[in-house]
Amino acid sequence: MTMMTRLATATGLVLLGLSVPALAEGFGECKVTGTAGSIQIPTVTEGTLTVAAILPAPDSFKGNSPETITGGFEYCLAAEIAHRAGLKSVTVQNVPWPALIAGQLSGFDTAMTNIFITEERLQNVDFTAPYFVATSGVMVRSEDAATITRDNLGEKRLGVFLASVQDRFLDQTLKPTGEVRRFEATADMFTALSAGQIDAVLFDLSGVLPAATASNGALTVIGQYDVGGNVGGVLVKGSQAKAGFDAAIEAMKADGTIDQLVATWYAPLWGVDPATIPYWDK
Amino acid sequence: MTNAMAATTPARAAGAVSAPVSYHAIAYLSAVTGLITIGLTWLGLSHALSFTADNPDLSRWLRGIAIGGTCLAALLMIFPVRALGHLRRADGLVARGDLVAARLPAWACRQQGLSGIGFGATLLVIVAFYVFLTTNNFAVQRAFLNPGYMVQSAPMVLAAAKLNLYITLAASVIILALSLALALLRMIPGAAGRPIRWMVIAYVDFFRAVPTIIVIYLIGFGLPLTKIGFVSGWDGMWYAVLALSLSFSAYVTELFRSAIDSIHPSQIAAARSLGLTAVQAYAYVVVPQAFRRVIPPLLGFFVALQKDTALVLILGLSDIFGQAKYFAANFFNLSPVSVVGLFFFVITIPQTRFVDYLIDRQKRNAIR
Repeated sequence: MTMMTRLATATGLVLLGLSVPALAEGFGECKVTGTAGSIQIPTVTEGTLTVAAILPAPDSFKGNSPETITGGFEYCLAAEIAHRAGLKSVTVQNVPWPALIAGQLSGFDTAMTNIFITEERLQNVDFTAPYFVATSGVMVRSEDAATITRDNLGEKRLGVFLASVQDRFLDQTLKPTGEVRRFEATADMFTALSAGQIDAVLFDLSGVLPAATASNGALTVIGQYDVGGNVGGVLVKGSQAKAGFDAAIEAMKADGTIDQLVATWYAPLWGVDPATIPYWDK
Repeated sequence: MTNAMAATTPARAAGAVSAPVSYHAIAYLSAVTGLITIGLTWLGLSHALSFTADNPDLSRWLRGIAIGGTCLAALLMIFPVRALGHLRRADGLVARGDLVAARLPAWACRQQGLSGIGFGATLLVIVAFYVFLTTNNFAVQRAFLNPGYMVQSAPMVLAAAKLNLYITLAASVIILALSLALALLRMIPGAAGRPIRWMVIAYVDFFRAVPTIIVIYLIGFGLPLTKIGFVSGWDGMWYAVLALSLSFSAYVTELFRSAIDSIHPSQIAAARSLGLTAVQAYAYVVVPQAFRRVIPPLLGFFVALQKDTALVLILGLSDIFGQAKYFAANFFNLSPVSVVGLFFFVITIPQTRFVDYLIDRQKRNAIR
């Protein structure tokens, strides 16, 4: 019953107008290493790097709301870029995915949530230089791990992210005969898998591995496809900031900062080395 | 039962009153269901104990619940016991041929018996819910009523409800003004008023036909896309306010119109004969009376509006539902979303009760 009392107290505090303070300045748990001012990025809001993201994405942006992000691979990547551009903070903005990829949004410096650089997308938006290379993983409920194979995957009920590279892969290459459900939020997709609404999820390997780790053995990643490729930050078409972002990313690749970020933020969430997941298309 | 049949025969023969046979069936049924309730309650409540062997603390709590619940079920046996007492008295009176006097204990017997069955059924529904929560090693409770996750997410989830409250307040003001104006325009008299009436009808038809979520989506994403200065640069919340206002105004316009329509024409005639102009008659006589009639159903619409603010999630706004889904993603658990359900439950129940009270009061006044 103490739980209920605490719940009631929390309710009372909130109604009194106390809420969690947002991080005003700094980069949370990210340790920035580069030289401040080594690159130039014109920003939409002075002094801060505004990063749009498809939230929630716990592996890339760790926190409980856009205002309380403290870490994660892409947040710290953005923090490092901001630091090198002489900016004092990163402002995270939640944006709807379909509108972002259709080039309908503005008001941000870049958008990062493991977004693949593809020809179609380049028609509507620009991209920074790639900062990561990713494949696609097949995640299933652990009790089905033995029965779902590369040969019968197409007959299962599949879940993909709407208008993702995996969505296109199903459409053009795998051509599944089973039902395909398209989601606009990864959390909904993973819940649907846990709840038995779908049998397998085909999504970025860097996104399904953390979900499998966090599920306490309920979900497993059983295979990967070489679908995806280069990941980059989305820029508004014709953005003046591209040169600055590209310079920062190339420098971070060269000095090992990006490898360091992967090791710090992704590796613990993944639980396994992605290379050990068998390829189903090779 | 043979007893009962024997007892009814003289009554039938006498032909004085209808045979008071039903109280026997009810009394015996009540006794049987009472015993079954005790058994089922124990079975249902003790089932969860099998999952908690490794947690003595929880085990003690659950055993307490099981024993307490079963005692309660046993306590309910008081109803069949009383019913059987009344039954014996009634049977005695019937045997003596005093059918009129027998009706009172027979009635008491039926009341006690039916109460026993009713309370027993209620208890079994609660037990069934408990079984649902605890079955399969607390699977349901773990999936969306996990107290730890609920407490962790509650402060930020409830803080995010501020956005829902702001949207509700802003939209309410706009809806009230817009729909009253539209209702009056809809009632402009005469042939010259036709185009205006048609426009209002078209508006009401359109927005009542299109689902609210579609209106929110089209306005929230469509207007900013137009890049027209005065409608494209708003904060996301105001698109939600506009969409909900347009959608709900259609319903509330009809509400106002029917309320104004319900004011008897003699009121206007009386006002006009006193020298008021048509506009004055509406402003001082008709609308104030209509407004009083419309308050209860209007509040009902505002309760619905509060709940529909959760739809603005599709615009990517961090409202209470959006924030709860954020936690749900981080925890891989739906309990934070249950906090949202609980929130709306707690804020809307008093309001709907208040609406019921107003309607009741209106009925009483109408009778008087």
